[in-house]
Amino acid sequence: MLQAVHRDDAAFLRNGGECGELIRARDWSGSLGQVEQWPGSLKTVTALILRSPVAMVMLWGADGIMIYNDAYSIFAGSKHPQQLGMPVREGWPEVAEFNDHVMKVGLAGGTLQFRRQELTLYRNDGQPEQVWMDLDYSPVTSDDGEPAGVLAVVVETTDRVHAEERLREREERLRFFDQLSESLRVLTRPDEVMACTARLLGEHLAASVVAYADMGEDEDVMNIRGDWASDGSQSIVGTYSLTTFGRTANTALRANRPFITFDTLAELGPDEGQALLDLGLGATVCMPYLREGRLTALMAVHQKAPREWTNNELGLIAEVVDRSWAHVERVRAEAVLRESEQRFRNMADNSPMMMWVTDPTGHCTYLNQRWYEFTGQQPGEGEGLGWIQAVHPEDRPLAERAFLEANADKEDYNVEFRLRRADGSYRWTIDAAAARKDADGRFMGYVGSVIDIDERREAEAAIRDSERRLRLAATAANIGTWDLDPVAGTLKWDDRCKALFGLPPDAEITYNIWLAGLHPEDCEAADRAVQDALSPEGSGSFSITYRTIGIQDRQLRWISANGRAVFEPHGESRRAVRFIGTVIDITERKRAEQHQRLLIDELSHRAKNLLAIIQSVAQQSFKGAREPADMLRAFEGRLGALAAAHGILTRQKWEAAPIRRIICDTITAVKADDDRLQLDGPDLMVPPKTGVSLAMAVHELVTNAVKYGSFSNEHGRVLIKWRVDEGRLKLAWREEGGPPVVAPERRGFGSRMIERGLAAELGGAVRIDFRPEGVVCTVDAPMPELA
Amino acid sequence: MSEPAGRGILLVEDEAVIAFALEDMLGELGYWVVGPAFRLEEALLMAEAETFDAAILDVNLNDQRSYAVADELNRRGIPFLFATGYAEEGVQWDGREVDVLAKPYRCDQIAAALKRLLA
Repeated sequence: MLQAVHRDDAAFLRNGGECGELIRARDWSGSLGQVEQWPGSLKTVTALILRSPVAMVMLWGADGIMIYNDAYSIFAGSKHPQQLGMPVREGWPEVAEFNDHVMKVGLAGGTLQFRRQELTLYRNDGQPEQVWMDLDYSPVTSDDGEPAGVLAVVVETTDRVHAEERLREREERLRFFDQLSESLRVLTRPDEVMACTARLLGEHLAASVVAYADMGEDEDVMNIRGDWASDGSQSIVGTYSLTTFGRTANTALRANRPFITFDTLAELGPDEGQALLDLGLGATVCMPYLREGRLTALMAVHQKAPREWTNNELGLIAEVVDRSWAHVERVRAEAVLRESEQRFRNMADNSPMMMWVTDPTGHCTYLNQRWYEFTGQQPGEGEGLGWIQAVHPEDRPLAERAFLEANADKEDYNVEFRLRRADGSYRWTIDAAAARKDADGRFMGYVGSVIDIDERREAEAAIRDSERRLRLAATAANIGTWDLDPVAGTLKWDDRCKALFGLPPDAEITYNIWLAGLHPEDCEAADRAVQDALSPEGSGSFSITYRTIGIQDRQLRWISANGRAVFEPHGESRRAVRFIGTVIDITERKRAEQHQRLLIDELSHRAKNLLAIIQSVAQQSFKGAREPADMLRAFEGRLGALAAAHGILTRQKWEAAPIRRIICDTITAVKADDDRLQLDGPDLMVPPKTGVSLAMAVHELVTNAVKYGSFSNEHGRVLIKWRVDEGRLKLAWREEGGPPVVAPERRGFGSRMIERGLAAELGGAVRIDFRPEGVVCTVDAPMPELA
Repeated sequence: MSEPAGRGILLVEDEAVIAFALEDMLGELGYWVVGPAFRLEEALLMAEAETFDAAILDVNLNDQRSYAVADELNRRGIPFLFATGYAEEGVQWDGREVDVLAKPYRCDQIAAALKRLLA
């Protein structure tokens, strides 16, 4: 029963967790007495505490004996479980004063509330710890109604405070970076970026100096280009050797690690630290910047006095420095880009050819000055797709399609189109574009050029024309071409060349075939001429005339061959590597030449013969004892007859002499009125020489008739009849009505020319009868045959 | 003029008027003339059969050459000369070297040539 009562008296500890068991097990005799004997109010509050999930502690009595729950034991850390039952001032000596105040107020019946109370506790094996708590203290009355203890509800807010702190820092940082970005955004020069960064960072951190430096090529010379210094701090701009900053700094920075001191002198000792301290580096955060493995720049935040850089500060500095390097790089790249863009435009605007640039969407963003000069478009008019307006309407679809297709494929392209010039005329141009790609190979659009190729086109057309003319001329002139490779021993002939050797177009050709086609008499000379032309010592020229006998058609042709050997150096000397030339069929020319030579020879012969005849006529005319005037008249008459006969023959091409014409013209040359002349006979042709003889004979007859015969009076007549009878020519000259004829005493030139000359010429008999009633002359001769 | 006297010259010439002039010329020089033969056949007959001391041959007899006559004269050992209107290379007789008299000729040329021929 006692036991039960006893047990019942400690029932308040039941379900009190670890702390409940500890309270039960503890010997309270030295302080609060046996648990069973605790005053009811203490038991009640203890039971309440032990069952609360919230950290609670009861500070009982004037000493503030600590009775707490499991939640509090976690808060107490390594001080639990010793702390259980200890007077609070002993259990938390680090905050004894605070708790003393709590006890006094609480036992006096007052309450205390603390929010976000910051305390430094040593609850983890003596390690100091900054903690924040919300604390609520309220008095607990004893059974007699007087305050006998203080109940503390403890809510640790350290984590929350830390989180809030971090949030605040982050916000602050973001604000700072916002400010920094906003300030840097408008800056375009690296030095401006760095100066601005240094100032903002220095102000933000309340640092002494923020400096930035370039490293020399040797990675030792450090040129502090600029800095920001707080009021009362000195600028440290200047050139330094990194070596003087000591080993620690060098090692860290070269390894791309920040060099950080909180208390320079203390951490590095006077040997290393003094030099830094002299520069005002009581504490420093020095950030390296390596590009391609080389230390190229530094940025540092210095504090004159030692400074406990917080992680937040260090992080901030690192981020600021990173950002500013990135910004500087971008600004530099932009400057380079701007400069290269400027250079491109300078170059492009001064370029004699038109140039343009498009963006990835195919919009033209730039056209150089030359474009606007050439097309007469207003500046900017060609941008976008405005350039197409300067393209010839007929060529627009093609130009546009080529451009759009190329844009889709992102490939280089070129296209030809006519472009309108400022004067309204169109010129053929070639538009060539190269795809622009950035460093990652992304398509950025095109850069292109437009060249006026009309001149080239005209030149090409002229060349085509001239080639066609040459071909036509070669065809018309029947010029064949040949091409010998003396090294390979191959020979090429065109169709005309083959034709001149009597070969079909598909015939195979070799040098020996050529030789075989030559006239045997010309073969050796032709071969020698080729060897001479190919000789390294020779002039290389080749110009000969030879005859060919058609290999298949056996036809003789005269050929004029011309050529030239092409040499190239060979050892000490040179050798022919090509032998090329032409052949022309000059057969016709040769024939014409021969014919002409014959003609000239013949002409010469005739002329000389005629002179000989004239000489002979003269010799015989100027003979005897007649009056010189008579002799001259006779000679002139005979020359006239000769001339008349020659005239007729010339008109007949010296092929034949028409008898009627010869007789008629010879007579009318002497006696103009022909109504007393009667010609009766067929149109007969005799050989030219016979015609001349006949003319001379008739001349002598008519001269005699005019002087003495039927033409010497008013009514005499001359009848001339001829016919061919059984292959014989019978011709009769009969005079009528003239004065009585008296036969001449002496036969003269006329009689000799008629009776002997004409007879001999005709190979027959010619007689003159001087009958009293009129002269009769008869011819009986074989009918002369034409040649 | 005494030297040519009694010497006979065969005259071959197809151009009658020239033959007559030459006939006159030779007569004046004191030669007597055989012919003139105006045609090749006639000339050949005379060259074979007639008696004379020298001959003047026109190369071209109505488009025929008088070389056959020259051959005959050569065979008989009778000296002769060619008279031609052709250039000298126009004479293509392949016998011995013979004087060629180019037409038109003068009397003194005939005289000198015959004198040389008969020397």
